Amino acid sequence: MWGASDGEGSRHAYYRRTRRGRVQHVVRERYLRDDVGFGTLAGRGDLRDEDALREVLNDEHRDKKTNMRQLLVLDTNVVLHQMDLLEVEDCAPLQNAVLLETVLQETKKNNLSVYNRLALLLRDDKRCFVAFANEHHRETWRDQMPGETPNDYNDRLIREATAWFKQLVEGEGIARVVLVTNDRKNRDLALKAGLHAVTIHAYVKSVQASHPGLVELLAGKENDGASDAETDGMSTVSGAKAARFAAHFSEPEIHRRLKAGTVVQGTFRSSPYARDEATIMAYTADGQAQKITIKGHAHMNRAVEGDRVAVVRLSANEALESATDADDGEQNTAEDEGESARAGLADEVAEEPGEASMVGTKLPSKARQASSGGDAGPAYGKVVGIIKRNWRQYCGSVDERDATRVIKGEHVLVVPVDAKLPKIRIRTRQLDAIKDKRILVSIDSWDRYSAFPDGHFVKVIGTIGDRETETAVLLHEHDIPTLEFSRKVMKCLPREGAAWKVTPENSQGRVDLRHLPVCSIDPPGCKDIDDALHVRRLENGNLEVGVHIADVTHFVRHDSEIDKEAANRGTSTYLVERRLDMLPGLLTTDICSLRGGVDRFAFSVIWEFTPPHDPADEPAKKKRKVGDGGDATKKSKSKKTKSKSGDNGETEDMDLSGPGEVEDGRGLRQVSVRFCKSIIHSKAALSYGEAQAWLDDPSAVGDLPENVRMLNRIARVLRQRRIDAGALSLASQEVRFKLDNDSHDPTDVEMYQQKEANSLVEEFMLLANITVAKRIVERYPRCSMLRRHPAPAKEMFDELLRAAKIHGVDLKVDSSKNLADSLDAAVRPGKPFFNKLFRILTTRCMMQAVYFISGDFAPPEYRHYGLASPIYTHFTSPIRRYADVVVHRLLAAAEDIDPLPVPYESKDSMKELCDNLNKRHHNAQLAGRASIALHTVVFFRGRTTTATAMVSRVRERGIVVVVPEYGIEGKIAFAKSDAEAKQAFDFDADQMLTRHKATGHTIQVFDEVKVKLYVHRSAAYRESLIVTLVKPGIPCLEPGNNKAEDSTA
Amino acid sequence: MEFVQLSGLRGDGRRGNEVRKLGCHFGAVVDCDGSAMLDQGLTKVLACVHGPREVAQRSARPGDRRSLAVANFVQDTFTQVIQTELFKGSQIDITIHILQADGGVLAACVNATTAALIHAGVPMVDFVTCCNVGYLDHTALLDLNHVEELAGGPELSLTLLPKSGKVLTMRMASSSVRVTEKLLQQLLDEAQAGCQLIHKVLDSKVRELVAVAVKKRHGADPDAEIADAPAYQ
Repeated sequence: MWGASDGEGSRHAYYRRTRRGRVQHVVRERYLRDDVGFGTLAGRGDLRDEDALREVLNDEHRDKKTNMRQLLVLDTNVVLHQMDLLEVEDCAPLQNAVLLETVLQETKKNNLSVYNRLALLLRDDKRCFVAFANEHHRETWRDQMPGETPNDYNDRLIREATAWFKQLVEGEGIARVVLVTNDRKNRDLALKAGLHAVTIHAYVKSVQASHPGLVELLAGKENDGASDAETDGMSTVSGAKAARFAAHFSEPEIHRRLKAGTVVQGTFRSSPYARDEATIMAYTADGQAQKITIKGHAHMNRAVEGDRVAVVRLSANEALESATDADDGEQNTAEDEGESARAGLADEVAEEPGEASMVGTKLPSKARQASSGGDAGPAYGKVVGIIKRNWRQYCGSVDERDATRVIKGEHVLVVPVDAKLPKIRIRTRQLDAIKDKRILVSIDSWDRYSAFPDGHFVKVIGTIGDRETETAVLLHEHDIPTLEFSRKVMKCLPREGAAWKVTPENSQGRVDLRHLPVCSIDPPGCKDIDDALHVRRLENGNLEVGVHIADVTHFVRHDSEIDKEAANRGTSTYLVERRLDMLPGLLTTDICSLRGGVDRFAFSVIWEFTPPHDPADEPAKKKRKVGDGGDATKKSKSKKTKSKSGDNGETEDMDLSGPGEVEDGRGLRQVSVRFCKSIIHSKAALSYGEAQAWLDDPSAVGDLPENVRMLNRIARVLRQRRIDAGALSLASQEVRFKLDNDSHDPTDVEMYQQKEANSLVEEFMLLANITVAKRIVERYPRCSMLRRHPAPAKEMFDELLRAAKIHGVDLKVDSSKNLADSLDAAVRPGKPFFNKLFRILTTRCMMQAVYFISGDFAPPEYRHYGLASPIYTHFTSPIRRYADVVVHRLLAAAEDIDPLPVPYESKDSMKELCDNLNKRHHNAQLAGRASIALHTVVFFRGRTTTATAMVSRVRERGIVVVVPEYGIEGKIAFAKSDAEAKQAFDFDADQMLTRHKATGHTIQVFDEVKVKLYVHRSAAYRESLIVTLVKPGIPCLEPGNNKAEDSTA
Repeated sequence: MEFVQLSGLRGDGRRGNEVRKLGCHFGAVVDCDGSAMLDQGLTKVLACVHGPREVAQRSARPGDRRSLAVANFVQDTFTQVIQTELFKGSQIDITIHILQADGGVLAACVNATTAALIHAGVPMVDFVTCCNVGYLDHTALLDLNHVEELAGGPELSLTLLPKSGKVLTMRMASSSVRVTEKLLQQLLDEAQAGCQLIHKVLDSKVRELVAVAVKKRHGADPDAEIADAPAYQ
């Protein structure tokens, strides 16, 4: 079969402008075919003839009048705007559709994410969405006519194809062919040509009797086809209404101005604390980053969090002037008093650690220099155009006050859960059904005449305040995949299922280590055990230490469905009450898990060490509080169900140059190291408690207890070396909930405790990670996946240093070693939390550790600051982190055990993988924290509590406190405005001290205070934990005092 | 970029296993012993053959590297198939002009040379056809055009003696992807299938040429006589 014999060739020529501005004449071939049939069902083959089409069309829905099935031909505008509607599952009227190549191409050009969603629908087995190559079909292809605009031409192609379908499909009585378009002109011309053409709105209305829910999902108004709200000529919508916002520049205009340098572009980031303030990070011509602040809704000009916007600079006067008069609008009515007052504390609130420095590259620090070092003061700007919208589906709930007063017929306002977003106006007829629910909504458009964007309802998530619902919300907001594993993925699991066993056939090429005294130490009840250890004395007197990691890559082959799924998920996510796995349960808790008493596959790292010098010689070197636990980058680990809390290998503290290279009189010189795929037989799966008991009780005899004690001796030496090298031991406010067994509601909160046994495992995991990192970089210097932790910028410490000085603490931040030492010295007798607060605040100053590809950085930049290690990676938890899976494959290839997967050789594809892993990792952390926050709120519901807190920041208008007992940070506002604050308080910025004039009470940073904690539910159905001051008795602002009583009753 | 669309067709409307439209015009240049103008899609190549003739000065070789690579490839290929032992002490000059390049230039040069040599009546052991194959969007694509070549995926050009199925020469490049043994095998199979497709068309063009020539000489309808005869000799 030869292409050109089936179809005839034609040429398709056009002019295009190159990036440099030259005009290029492009000629492309176009083959017209006659074997296209009725199109293709992606993944299911071609529809060669009428019978094939008749067979695949769904038969559930028939047109009332003709009693025929309906085949919809969708126009581009319908696809672009009504994706939520098209995605509805099991909706009979929307099951049969033709997507013409013209439409697919136009969609791809306009919005890639919609195109990708559409591609998924085309591949969905349950629907009959046919892709039809109308531009390569002899009967449906037409040449562009002279003078015809591309839009008109595309519309004509769509009509021609519809006519062809109508003739063949309707003629044969297979189905009624309906062109669905919201473009009025196209529809008129189609009707003139004798086609059935309707708007999507009319179509949905025609099936309303049987499918009433569909109307809610409709986006936009009926005739929005060609009318562009930005053009000034439009008058239909506005009428006499004045435009609320300035018009956006058109796309070519933006590009022209960007080139000329009169506008800059950046990603719009709303302030989480003030709804009328946002920033963008813009890059000037000379590559300097500059932070531009946008104040007021008029200047924000309808930009929404995450949009790519074009901004023009303003002088400070211009910026502030309009910021004040723009806010008379409805935007502010929502805020109740306290809420806006607390929002005013914007800049006083600590940034989430690493939030801004997520990227972990030079950029943020450069930006900081630009903004702090610049003498011009802060830069202001206003949005003049949108380069790319970043709208997604948002979780929210109907504004409580709207629940009784519906605006303009069917419109209600939805308040998104994310405070950075504006309210969204949707149409609904089922207000009663959704008013106490969390719902998912989409934004469709935002015209100049409206204070709020228009959107539509997508679906109900659940009842507000319900723990399940709120968890679903936080998972959605952090973009965490929650779907069950697909059938395709499950097919990749071993056929034997749980009965899978090690056999001589499947273990070829593996080293048999089943005779070794291997054991694992994990939190009690841990199911996904991905590491185990052994130690034994060799005949030459040296020690052999082995770390054995679950061999996940044996079951997760590169590029298999399961591998793709895991690569996408990136990590398991640990919430307070449940775990979202990266891999299916069979692998996570059974076949890969290195449980006691069974044979398992492992990837082993085995060292030979000279024996450590007797630990009795250096009594209790471990003075440093390992118990403090936690550090800047640690996963939240306060979970009960989290069987593998982040403690082993996750606390990224480390070892400068690896044991063996240091001769410090402690012995333990590394003689050799080897890596192998192995079979192990764990003798015991110990819990931390059991292992700790053996450590504490030297009378416990037997092989295992002695091995554990030997491991501990080695671990102490390793730890001491790390500490000498300057590894940091920081702290986070982590707590652990006790959950009710049935309801999973939190019943108690306790602080996280770390035992010596935890750090024993941790030491070996760090050692393994570092050893593996060195090995893979040696073999693959360009494309290894490593983890780096950049040193924090000095400016980040400014405030902490000043606060420390007030209390006579000399914090040295020039190196991690000095920082660690000076943190150790920051102790106040009688103030147990003093040191901990310091560690928490230091954590805040840290950058985020990130995965990266070795070829992207020079070796000196591989450094992991927190661990004080020159190189680091993740190798030890492949069951719950995909980075470890990648590193396993790299190591296997480096050791010539398996070939390196092809894409791993390419820096670009590795970079892509890396970016996703960083994003997923970060989101999983945020979701974990959000889950803790949620449970904290649930815990404090109905129990107003007083507690001791420490002041971490003092500002003019209020203070920020940390409540160590519950791991809470709270803001306490004293005044609504700066002027008010000045009246009532004497504020001393240098001493970080404020004095209440009326009572004479003073508050200084690091003071201990008594606070009251209770849960308040705001009008927008946001529950939040409120902290107010009890002692000293300075009056502070509380949101809706009277309401507070209700919710705590 | 998407090289295989949701409808299963490539950007220009072909399927993965289809080659572009091939046209061949013999005798486009009169001042030589044989010539052929060959179109493969929008790639257009003119090949002229001088000789076999007395050994004269070595003809000019192209100066730039890309052209030189093509020239060497063509030379390597045809020294194996031309029955040079019949023309001891003589030389054959092949001149190729690339008029339009839209991907698959190397393959077009080989195919055009085959046609020109046949037109010149130079004895060869068999036809030689060449086809390239790439691998994009997890699909093997025959006869890449320029846009597909730019993607930088693996690209294999292979010359084949279609009758015996013998592979003469091949060239492979891949700037972004490593080619595994399994993939290479697949590409080799596909490329050979592509060569057979091209052979089929080129063969029919040669038969047309011969038919016209025979008709001119005998003035009779030659179809009956040559239908089952080998294409050449």
